[in-house]
Amino acid sequence: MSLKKSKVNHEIIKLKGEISVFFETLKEVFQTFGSPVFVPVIIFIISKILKVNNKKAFFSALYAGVGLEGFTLLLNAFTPIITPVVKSMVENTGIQLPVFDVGWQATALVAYSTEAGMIFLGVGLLVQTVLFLTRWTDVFQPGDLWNNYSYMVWGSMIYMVTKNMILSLGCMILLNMYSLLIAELIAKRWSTYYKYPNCTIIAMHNIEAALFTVAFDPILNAFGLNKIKLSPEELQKKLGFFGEPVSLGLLLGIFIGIMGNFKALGTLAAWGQVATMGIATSAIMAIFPRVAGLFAQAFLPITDAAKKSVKNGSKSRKWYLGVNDATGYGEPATLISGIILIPIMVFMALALPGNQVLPVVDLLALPFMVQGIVPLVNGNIFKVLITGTIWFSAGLYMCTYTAPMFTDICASVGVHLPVGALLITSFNILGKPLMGLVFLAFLSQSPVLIGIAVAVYLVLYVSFRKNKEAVYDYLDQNALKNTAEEAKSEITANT
Amino acid sequence: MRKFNVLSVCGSGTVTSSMIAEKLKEAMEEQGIKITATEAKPTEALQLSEGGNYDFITHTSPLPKGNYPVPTIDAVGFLTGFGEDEFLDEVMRVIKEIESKS
Repeated sequence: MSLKKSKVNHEIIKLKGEISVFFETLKEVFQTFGSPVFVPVIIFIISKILKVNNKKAFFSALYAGVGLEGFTLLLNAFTPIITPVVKSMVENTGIQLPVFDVGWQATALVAYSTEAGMIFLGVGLLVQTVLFLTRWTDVFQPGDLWNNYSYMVWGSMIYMVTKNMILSLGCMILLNMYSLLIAELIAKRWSTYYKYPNCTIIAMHNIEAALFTVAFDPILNAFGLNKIKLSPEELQKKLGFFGEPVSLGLLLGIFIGIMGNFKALGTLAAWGQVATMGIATSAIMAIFPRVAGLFAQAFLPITDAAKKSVKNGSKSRKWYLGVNDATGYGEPATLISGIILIPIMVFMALALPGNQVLPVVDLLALPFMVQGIVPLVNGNIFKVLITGTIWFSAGLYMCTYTAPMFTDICASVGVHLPVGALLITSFNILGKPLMGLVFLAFLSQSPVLIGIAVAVYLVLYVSFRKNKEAVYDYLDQNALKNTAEEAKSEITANT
Repeated sequence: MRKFNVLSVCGSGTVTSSMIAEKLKEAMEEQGIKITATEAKPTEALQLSEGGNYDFITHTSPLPKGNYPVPTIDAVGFLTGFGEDEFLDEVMRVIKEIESKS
């Protein structure tokens, strides 16, 4: 018996050794080739495992490399323009906003190119499929694999600070389980409100606000806000200017430019810099997303193959398919409240003490970010604005805190930012107060704090699953307390 | 080869619309039809389609109200994988309609 035990122990030690050798080798190869070479290879291998044909697998892989290289080229060209301006803005006006928001698209590219990200590409797919097939959750997440980068960002930061891949994986998996729980919590409301039968969104960064909304909404009702009906279509038309990447970019660029040249506005050189900043920011807003579009094509064959694998095993049970949040974007209350939040969030960023983030590219993501709130309050725009302002403001602090770590990760995949001058973040992806707490527990490496994070999850999970129908009924009834009409969206073929 | 220009619309005009466009290109190639696609946001769709360069629109986000000069096809089923055939049938129907007009 004891002999057997020691043999098992020996095997475990050997296995641990092999794992660490594997990660070391991986790291070395990774550093030699760099992510624009390494990521395509990984994508090719995963595509082949999922039996994608050679031609498709090759193009998927190449698109991934092209997207990544494009992003690096762009950001390396943009930072020399913006860095001196932001620096002098901080010096001249006392506006302490040295953290520039590069947006979710850029963040996704960075996340997919880290070691932790690439490992999670496979692990995440596996975990999500197993959780679904074992009925731990009724949401099939691989319907929207693209959004996995949301966990990878946090996991990459854990790995960079602690150099512990197991810890990093643990963090990503727990975050994934938390977000699956939230996805299941809002599944019925989301599906009913946006009129997509048996679908829900799973992007962690866009559903996190749901937890806050559930807790906060009764307070808003106590003040009678459920009776307020706002239908600001006119306001949306006027503010539509903010909703376009090029015009919003120009406006913000000019604003930063003027702040940066505050003491020299009488000189021609200052206005030269203001104008350059305006056009450059506008260009970044318009071009970044295109690069992400190239990168996204790499994920199509993998997502498709994953979806096919579950179709057969999922008959005779009530379940929800994870879909991309683009499906809710154009719904009137969602789009309107998202756009009105753009100037509000810029104001909050300037006004909040201690905040160092200037939201820029992800302001355009606000109509995605409110999708965790809108269906729960049945499209009550006024409530969405209040809830969103509070929660996303809290998010600014999480961005501020994580900015140095995220900037380091970007540097590790090839974006060269001048030290100490400018930090970068993504307002959408990193501005997550609750998910950030889970991350901080893992970052502390304290078994107690990690234990608490796991325990809280288990308590929430068990209480939700035990009372699922009652919770769904409560959320439905609570949503219907709002007198705002359910917005009629223009879904043509589906209805 | 028959050629068609498609405006592919999703929320941000980037990720999902690129995926839909790529998938549609592949599916149509088997039918001997060449698809050229441009990605766009819902708020750009009306203006772009009025420019006259597109034969039809596919969208995974709801489109803003308006008089679109070309057919619009809901592509959510194509995205989720649960209405692929219905979507492709609809595309073929629209294509035949366009061809019978010209």
